[in-house]
Amino acid sequence: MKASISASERLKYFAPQIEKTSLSTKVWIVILLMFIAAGGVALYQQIAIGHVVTGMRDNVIWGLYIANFIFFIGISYAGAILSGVLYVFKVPWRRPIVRIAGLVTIAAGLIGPVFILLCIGRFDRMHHLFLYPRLQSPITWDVMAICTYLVGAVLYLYLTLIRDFSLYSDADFLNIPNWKRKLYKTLSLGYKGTGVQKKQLKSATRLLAIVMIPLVVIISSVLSWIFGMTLRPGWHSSIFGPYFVIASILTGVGVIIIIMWTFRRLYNLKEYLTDKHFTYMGFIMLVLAAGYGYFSFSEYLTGWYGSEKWDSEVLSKLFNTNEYGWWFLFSNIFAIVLPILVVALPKLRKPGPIAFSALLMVFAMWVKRYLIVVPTLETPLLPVQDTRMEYVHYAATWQEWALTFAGIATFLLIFIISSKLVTIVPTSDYIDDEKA
Amino acid sequence: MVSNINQLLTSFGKMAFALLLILWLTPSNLFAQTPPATEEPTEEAAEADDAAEAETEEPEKFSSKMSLSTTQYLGDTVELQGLLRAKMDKSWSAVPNEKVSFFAVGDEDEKALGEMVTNAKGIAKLRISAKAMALNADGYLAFAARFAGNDELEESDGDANIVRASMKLTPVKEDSTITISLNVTAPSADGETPIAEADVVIYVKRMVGRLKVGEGTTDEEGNVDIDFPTDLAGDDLGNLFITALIEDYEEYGNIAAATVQPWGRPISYKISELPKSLWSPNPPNWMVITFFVMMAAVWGHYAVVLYKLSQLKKAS
Repeated sequence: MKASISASERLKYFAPQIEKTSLSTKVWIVILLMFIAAGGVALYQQIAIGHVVTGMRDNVIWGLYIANFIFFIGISYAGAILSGVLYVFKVPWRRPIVRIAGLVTIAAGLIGPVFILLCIGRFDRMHHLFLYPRLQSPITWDVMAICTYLVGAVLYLYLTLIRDFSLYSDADFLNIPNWKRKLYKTLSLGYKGTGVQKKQLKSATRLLAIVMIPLVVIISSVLSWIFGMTLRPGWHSSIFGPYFVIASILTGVGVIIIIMWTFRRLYNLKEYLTDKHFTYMGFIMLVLAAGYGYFSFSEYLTGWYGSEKWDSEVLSKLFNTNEYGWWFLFSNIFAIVLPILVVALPKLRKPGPIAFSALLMVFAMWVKRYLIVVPTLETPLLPVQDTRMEYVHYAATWQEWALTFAGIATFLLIFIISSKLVTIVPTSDYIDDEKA
Repeated sequence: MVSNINQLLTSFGKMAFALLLILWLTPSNLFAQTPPATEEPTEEAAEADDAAEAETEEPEKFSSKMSLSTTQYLGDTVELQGLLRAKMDKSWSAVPNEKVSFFAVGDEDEKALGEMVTNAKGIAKLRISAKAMALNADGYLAFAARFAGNDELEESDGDANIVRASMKLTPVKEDSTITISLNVTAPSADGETPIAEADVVIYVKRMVGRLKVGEGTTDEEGNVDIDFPTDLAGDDLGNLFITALIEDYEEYGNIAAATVQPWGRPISYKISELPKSLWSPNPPNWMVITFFVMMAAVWGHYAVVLYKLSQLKKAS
């Protein structure tokens, strides 16, 4: 670690990230915008023609969108709880990870709720959720919880950025446009690192970090209760709350590892995002994967052993290789077994394999979200009235896929734009430590 | 760093390009729900389309039919009821939201009485005072209802000729029995002439439609007494809205009389307060308290943080 270099030298090291936008980055942005444009076309069709362009019907009323919603919002929760825990417990290796976790929180937190809006048939009545809320409804809880959470997440990320904003605005050697410097100056709230300011900022950050931890646990549980409170096979389970919490954090940790690996290579941050960071994050992933595996086993064993009619029907679909069997197997092996194996074996405990296993795990967890939503809805308690194939079995249409890829593209785009505004490694943290 | 970027670009670029190809270039192969591409129209088909377009320039109008009926009330009040229908798919359907004009038809001229718009059942109603109306040469009150037609419907009209008549309703309550006494007459040169052998039905207005509660036939004097039930549910004051009706009788058309009497059992339709439960609109207290305490706790902390941020700015 560069312990003896000056503040300006350290900032100069990170400066190219926020000073320039390389050709490769611009190409990336164009590619992502193309995906978003494709999503825009799909969205236009969905609005103009109606939900009939999706695979959702009377019977299977949710599909890809809800799976994406749970996936993204879960990632966001993980970013918040991870940055909160690392900050509160003053984990020494937290610095380069906290900023990434904070950005993941905001990017995923903004995209996730959009997917649930895409499911709403009467979008013109959206405001009724706030005007005429029904307090007994888990949907109401979730709407209130997500709104509250997003405000806290933005506030928390902002608190962790103030010192960096001050640093950027004061650094004359930074080759940035005037509007950017003014923006940094405004956002820094005049922070100069005086004793009073340090105290106020530290206490505010610590207070919010403490609040975010239980808040994330509660709202992640609330998200699960949209399913858990419903009397449907595969959903109505008392462990859905903790099951969702642990699944969210596991997925989020995976996403953070992938982003760490990407930025480490992209901005040559090997000295800041070291092998040690990957190992520690790998251990967290291992513990979470083991916990998630335990919950999964407990959930499915209980349902299978009870042999209740409808539970058995859902499980038979998950175990049948002609239906969802292969995907179910894939999700369990790549989300549970693979991360444990890769981190447990010392030879594989390296940034590359850990990041690769995280990538597969994240995809497997997305598949798992799909398997939570669709097979249950394809197993109604009452006989299906309209027996056309598209009413009995759900199949996502190109519009749904296009919007899904647009969501992923937006997530990456937010990250790229954010990395052009703030350094991925929180520079002020290192400088303050050196002064201390 | 440049080589790293190139590596990343190569791998991610390939993935992105492949996905774009999947999404944009081969949607019909991948997604079965995409509608099939339409074929180029042939010359013959284009000509046929042109001919069809020419034909559709002046579309054939649907036939319409206007039926006019009348109901006479005491005091020379007449309600005109025009029913407008159109023939579609070989059956007559009600035509809503169309203007119907009503006229009093004299021997030499006609006088406009008013215009009304048809309701969802295709009915337009106009109530008028016929006291000053002159009879025609045959001794009838003559009315007409007209629909002027529109782009889709042909014009139509209906008429009704009636002889003046009236029905007097007298509610009688004695001890525990209730009777409706009715006297039906028609004005003549000799005064009032009784209308005999007319079937009268008594209705009570209900929440949806009307309930038939009694019937009878007028005697030679034009009188009839009809027993009225004592166990009907009324509004919150016990009021019942009672109508006596003779339907389409000879040349008189409909003859009606109405009254409101407090003969029903008072029923309050105010919904009693539902319990605080999961299923009712009122959430349980513990749920309300938990929700607001939690929200207040979190937003309270946000407020403290915002206060600290404001202090931060002041300290600068």
